[in-house]
Amino acid sequence: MALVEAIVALLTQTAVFLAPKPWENWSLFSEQIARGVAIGSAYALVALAIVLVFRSSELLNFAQGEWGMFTTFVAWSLVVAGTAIGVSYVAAIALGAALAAVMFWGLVMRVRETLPLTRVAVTIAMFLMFNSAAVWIYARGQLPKYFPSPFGLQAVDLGPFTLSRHELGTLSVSLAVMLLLSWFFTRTKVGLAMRAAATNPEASRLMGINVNRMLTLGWAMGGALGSAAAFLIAPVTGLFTAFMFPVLIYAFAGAVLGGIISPPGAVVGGILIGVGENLLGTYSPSWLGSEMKLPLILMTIMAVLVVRPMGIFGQPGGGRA
Amino acid sequence: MTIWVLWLVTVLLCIGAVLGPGGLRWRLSALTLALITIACLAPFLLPVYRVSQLTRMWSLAISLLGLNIISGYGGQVSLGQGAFMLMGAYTLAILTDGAEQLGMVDARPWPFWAVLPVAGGVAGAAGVVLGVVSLRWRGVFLALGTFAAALALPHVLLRYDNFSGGARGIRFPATPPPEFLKGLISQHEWLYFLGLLSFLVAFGLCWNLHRGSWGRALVATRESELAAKAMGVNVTRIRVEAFALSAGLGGVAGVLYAMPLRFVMHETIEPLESIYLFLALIAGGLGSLPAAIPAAALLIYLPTDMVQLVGRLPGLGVELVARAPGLIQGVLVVVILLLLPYGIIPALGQLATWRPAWALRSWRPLAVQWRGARVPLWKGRPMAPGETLRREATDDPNKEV
Repeated sequence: MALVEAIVALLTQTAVFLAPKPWENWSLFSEQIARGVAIGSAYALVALAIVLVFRSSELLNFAQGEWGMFTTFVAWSLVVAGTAIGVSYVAAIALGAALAAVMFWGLVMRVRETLPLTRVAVTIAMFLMFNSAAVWIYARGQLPKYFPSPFGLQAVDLGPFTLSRHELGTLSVSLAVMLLLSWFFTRTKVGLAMRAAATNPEASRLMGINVNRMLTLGWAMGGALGSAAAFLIAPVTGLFTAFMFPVLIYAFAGAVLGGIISPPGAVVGGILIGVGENLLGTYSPSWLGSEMKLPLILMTIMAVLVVRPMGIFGQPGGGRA
Repeated sequence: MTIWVLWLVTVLLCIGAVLGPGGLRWRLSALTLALITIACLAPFLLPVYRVSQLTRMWSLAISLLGLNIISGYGGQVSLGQGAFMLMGAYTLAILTDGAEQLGMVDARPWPFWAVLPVAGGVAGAAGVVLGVVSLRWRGVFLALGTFAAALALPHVLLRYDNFSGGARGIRFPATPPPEFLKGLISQHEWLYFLGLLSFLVAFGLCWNLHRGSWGRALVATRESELAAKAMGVNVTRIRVEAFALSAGLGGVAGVLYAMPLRFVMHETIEPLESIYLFLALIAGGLGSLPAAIPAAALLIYLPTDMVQLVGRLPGLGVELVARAPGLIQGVLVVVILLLLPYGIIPALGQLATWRPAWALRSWRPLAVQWRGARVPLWKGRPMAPGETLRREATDDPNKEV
């Protein structure tokens, strides 16, 4: 209880310095939180992709964001060429999945794992390759490109605050994807096989599961998720070759905060990061400035990890890289 | 062109030292002597551009030595080495620019020989802080926690601009050679020799440390923390010490990196540079000290000369090189990792035992050898350098082990 009192005291002490005072404008405060949840759910999708890949092959995929960026450019070029928005989205998501599967099967799996991080090095190389390829193919003319939102950007009045239709759409799409994933992993045979292959490859091989196929499937799902998240983020940030790098950082942070092996943890972590980013952007006191947004988020996460080294939802020894 | 002749001679000398006659100790001493001679002659034979490249290479090599201590021997993945280099670079700028940022401390510009240990100390102190904070982190958590430090530092430098010059950065005067060398060597040769000398000193330090009881204790903590603890190793202390040493070397490297630039800003060393350092170290060979040199050479030559060389291949063209150098770099990194999974220096060590057995016996289809490359574990552990994967004669080569 003393701890709670101390935390409350600390919060009220620091709240004095906040630039706009939250208690003077509750609707702004709630709107910022809702915004944070909306953008955070997109981060959570990328974080989920990272967790999926980590669980299937115990590595951090640095190329995750760049795949999303690349497929978003492909979707954009399809839309510009006159394809219907829905069709080009589906095509680009399929491309994202195929790209991830081919890259895993063709490159990552082939590199002998002398150290746990050798394969991470391959994903960093892929990060470079896709970033560079996008610059080469698409970075002509004016950037950032305008990427249309499938939901539109009109404001919707929700009583205490307003959100844009795009934010509501982001929220509902992410929610649907998360529910679908949890159904897939708990209720279907393939989902169960994937979890088994990730948890105990030897035993699953004995049970007749093709482990490599399951791992490739995990990567493909990660690629599809990353592309879907990139489509939701691009209308907000605009489409340019670096737009997914900050998202990748936030997604890494969210996944680590959630304990890197736990999908619900990734969702919670991603949303927390989104909310934190939005609140810091609005309420950061003048003596701190907006440049300190990223360092503050990172330091908060480091502080959480000092107390819980395995993340909020993680298990001890769960994060072996 | 001279530079490539020098590198060719270097590589041939290394191969000769591995395969040549005589005792190992004799061969290694002769190799060291020959390499130091080449390194000392190089600045007098090369154009200025090549010499400044090599100066940067020595500074990166010092940083990689530090990274190898914590990651190669300590087994702790650190993606924050660039942050320590940036700290060293800013220490140099603040202490020598003549303007006052710290009041009395830097009212008068400091001499370079005083800046080097101070920068090492500042970065080392930051390393102690990071080491203590990260004591309980393992694996991915440690990798991303240290990377967070590298990401955060440039933002902090931007924010506190009365200290760091903000987005304008800090300009500082060139470091002239000491009196007794004036007239003997030019400015860029002086910086080259300062880098070379610092690298040799740092290498000697790391060599002695890793061969002594401290290094053995560090390797023991890498292999098994529990076993090391049982043998009486103070794991906490040795981890923090390794972090401090690696960060301190990073700080010294940052000073040498920034010295020829005469200017630092928050983008002098970008956060991704920390990751590239680690990538290069993997390619050079984690856990072997001389790996710092080929790794630093990769960092220098991969984005410039090697990309241009690949761009000259028929069908690729100038435009690809100009617009998408990262594509070629990525492909080159993957090729290196596929061909030399243990890195360059361990591959050199394997030369002595390597026999082209498969090539002599039969021309097995390439696909089979290709599949062999994906076997990650052998008898439950990674294959050691020099170990070959023996299969029974009747065994199906496509079967996984």
